Amino acid sequence: LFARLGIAVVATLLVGELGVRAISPRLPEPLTWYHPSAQIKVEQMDGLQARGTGFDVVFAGTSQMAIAGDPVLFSQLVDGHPSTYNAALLAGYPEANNRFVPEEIVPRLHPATIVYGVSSQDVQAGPEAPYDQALATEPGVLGAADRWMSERFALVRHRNDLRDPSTVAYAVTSGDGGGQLAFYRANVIGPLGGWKAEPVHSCRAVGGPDVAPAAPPPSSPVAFLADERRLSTIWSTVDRLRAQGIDVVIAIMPFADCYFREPFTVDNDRAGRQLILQGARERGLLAVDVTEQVRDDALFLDPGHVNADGARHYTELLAAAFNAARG
Amino acid sequence: MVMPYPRPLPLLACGGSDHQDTSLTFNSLQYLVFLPVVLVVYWMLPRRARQPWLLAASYVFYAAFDWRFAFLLLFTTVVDYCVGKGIENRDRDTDQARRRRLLLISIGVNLTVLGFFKYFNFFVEQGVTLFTKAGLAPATPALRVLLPFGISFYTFQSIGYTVDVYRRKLPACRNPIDFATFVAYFPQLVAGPISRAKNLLPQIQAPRDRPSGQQVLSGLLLITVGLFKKVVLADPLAPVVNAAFGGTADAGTQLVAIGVVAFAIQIYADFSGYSDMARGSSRLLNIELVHNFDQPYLSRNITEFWRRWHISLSTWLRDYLYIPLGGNRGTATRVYRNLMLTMLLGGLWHGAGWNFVIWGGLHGAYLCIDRLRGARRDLPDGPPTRRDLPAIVVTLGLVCFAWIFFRARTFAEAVQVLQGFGNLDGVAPESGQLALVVLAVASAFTIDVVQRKVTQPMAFVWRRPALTGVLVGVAMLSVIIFSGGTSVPFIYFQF
Repeated sequence: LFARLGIAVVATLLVGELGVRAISPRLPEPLTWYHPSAQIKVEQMDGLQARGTGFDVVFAGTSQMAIAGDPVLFSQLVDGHPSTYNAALLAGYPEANNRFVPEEIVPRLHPATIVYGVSSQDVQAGPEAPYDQALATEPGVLGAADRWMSERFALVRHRNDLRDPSTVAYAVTSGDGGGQLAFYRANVIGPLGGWKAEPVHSCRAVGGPDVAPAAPPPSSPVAFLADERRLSTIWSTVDRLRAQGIDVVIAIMPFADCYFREPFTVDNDRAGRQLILQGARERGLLAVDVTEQVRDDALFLDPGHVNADGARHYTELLAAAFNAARG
Repeated sequence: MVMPYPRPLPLLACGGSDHQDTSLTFNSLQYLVFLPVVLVVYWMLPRRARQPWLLAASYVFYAAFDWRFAFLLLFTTVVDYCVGKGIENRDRDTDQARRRRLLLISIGVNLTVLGFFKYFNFFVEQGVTLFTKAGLAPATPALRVLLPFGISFYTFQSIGYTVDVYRRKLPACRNPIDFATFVAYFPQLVAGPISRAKNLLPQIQAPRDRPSGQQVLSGLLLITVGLFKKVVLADPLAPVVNAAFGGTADAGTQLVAIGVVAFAIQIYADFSGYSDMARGSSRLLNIELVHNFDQPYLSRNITEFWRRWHISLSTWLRDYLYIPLGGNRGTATRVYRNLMLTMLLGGLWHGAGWNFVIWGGLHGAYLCIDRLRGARRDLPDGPPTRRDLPAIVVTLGLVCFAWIFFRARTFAEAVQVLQGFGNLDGVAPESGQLALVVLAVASAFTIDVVQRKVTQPMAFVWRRPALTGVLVGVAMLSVIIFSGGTSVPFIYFQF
């Protein structure tokens, strides 16, 4: 009984594994990081590291910096033309960057300076990225065991896509794996981690000139309330970098005018920015706050993210501040 | 003075929402390591060392959720152990008043602990609402009480023990290690089944032999089936349920309808899956736990439903609440009162909220109507026939209606869901959501019909080992594919 039952179980598992291996070239590339932007930027950084390319300046932070920081333009505008890479993440909340910056960016790119983009929203309570839950970054023995299984078994490696029969059917019939990673590579992230140009549109255009502007995202805090845990996470990341001899510059990220409507007010944003500036001052860091100059709705694709014009404008201001500070 | 942001006391409050350390749940990789280690060491140890090992493992299991509450478990254990012995020592004196006093101490302590941890926040909120409506502005107490995992389950189990000793149905347990193991026994500690002392305690006290090969096999099969129900059937339905219950603004008729059906399947697969894994794990220790579910959604009326759903709770309520209240004796009005009271308290057992009271009240009313119309009370062994189908559909509809109040976080949310039924132009479900629910319903009912048909599962395994192996293999493949996503805690952990 036991032998026959055991053989049947193993045979079924084997058939499943071989079946997935057979179709795996047509399946989407598995997402092993918490977000495609993290996986693609790690791959890019691996490639740069293999070529022995170190970087003078690296941008880090959330999607606001991922979109706003243009590494090519920055490199052109700053005196001495420092090599620049944008490693900021989409959904790169402070908890995610607390691991991503020192564990992934620093060992690969050995940057002299990290420009860390932080906004007033990052120092208040908000959503957290599931950074520790992803296969590539799950800590501890269990994470290692999961990675070990994923490397060896196609069933485990492709399980996210196998859950969706329509993905499997599309992949098998079309032969084009598709998936999020392919989309982000083709349309979203440029070669130096920069943002691929968006068609220029703005909150004003979205809302129309005579109608109410786009509502702030539901996660917006009602009144400014500093999240001590988040603040200490941000400064812990900064302190760890400085302990390794890396120069850190704090760049405060802007919001559009259309973002500031009751109950989320300009005062709220100002209180958050002051808190960040105070932390930077206490540490003797250069902090760049050009947010008041990047507020026109025409420079934003949504209330929290600049468009291509906004990215150019923000990068120019950041570079100018950099040049001024460095003499 | 009103405190806008109450600062919680350090020990009592880490808050309900942030208290989600479910590191040793049955569907975790940690448990996949924990269980074999416990089993191997247990069966390698000499007999006298096994019980302390099992007790230690149970406390480690519980402490993995939140170590602070292990002390609460210990407190309940010490009180009921002493009360049990005290009641039995008074037996010789035939001192009925003292025995009764001791029993009341046990019930009082257990219900106070349960009441404080489970209902404190609820009563404070109700009090604040009441005072605010009266035009007063009371200070919100700066105390948020955290609900310890499994407190409702082990409290009821402990109360059952002292009542049974008081009723002389069971001798008091003299060995503190045995008694502590009975209360803290890890397979059933956090979400039941609520074991009766007369069933579980003798098994724990008796020296146990290693389980036979057949027992091991059936235990492993139970764990596999439970894991399949939880990971493959229940968890993928969570997004659909969340979308229908407050997750989608302007949810329409179809979305609400499939959300409610999805929740009916989710809670059944989740809870019965947990019970299966609990029974399977326990069988590997050669201890049999009671059957908790018996294909409840194939019931032809609500009376039958309650003989098949969460059986360990419904029989507990029957024996320790309904019958002491008078049960079926007395006038019809009295019987209906007893039914309503039992179900209302059963609802409140699940949680402190008016939605649970309404859920219990609805089931109480259903049972009264069943009694009034003389509904059948037998439990058919075979699979349902075509003639049973209308009754099954009506019963399922009534159960689903009551689930709306159970799942909604507040009464207002339940009303919102009910309004969604009439919102024909509202947001409709995506085709993938619909397909998922149809598949889950079909799978759950297929499993139930097969279980009803195959009354002797091990005989089937002996007859068709290859087919069983293929089915187990498919279940394991499905678990591998569906695991690794966002882990959804077991629903009954919150009770």
